[in-house]
Amino acid sequence: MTAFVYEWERYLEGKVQILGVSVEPPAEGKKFLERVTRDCQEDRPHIPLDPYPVRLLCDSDAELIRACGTANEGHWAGTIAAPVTYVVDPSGKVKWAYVSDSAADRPSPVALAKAACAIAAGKAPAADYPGKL
Amino acid sequence: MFPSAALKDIDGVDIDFPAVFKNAPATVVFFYRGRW
Repeated sequence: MTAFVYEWERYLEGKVQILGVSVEPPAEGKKFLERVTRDCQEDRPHIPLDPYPVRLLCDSDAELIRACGTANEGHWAGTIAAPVTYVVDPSGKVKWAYVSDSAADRPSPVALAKAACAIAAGKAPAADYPGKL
Repeated sequence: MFPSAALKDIDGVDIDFPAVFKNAPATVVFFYRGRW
């Protein structure tokens, strides 16, 4: 999630909203947010974080996670979300997606921000920043 | 199309999919594992 914070200016200019979804309860989400915020303030204090770029959502029953087909049902901790990232337009159409092979496999922060901002501007994402399905 | 769902954010505010997508010209939705 730090990547979203570091790309805050791009997302703000593109008026892109960012939603993070997990099965975590609200208290864990708040801890996560506080940790990311602290890291960012120490590492890149010039980023004002106002408005805060990311909103974390609780999907405790994995309702949305299952509906998107991104559930990892076999995890020892129970059902958790597999790491997948979507860019969605205002009509609800998925315009870009990155299906990760593992928790460590995430889209390039710049590539994702550029793709999201292009979609927000009504343009197609650049061909050199493809998603991954 | 993105599926429908009714969730809450960590502050307890209701978030309805897909209605939330109308709030911005583009929305990034990322799923994450959490503390595991």
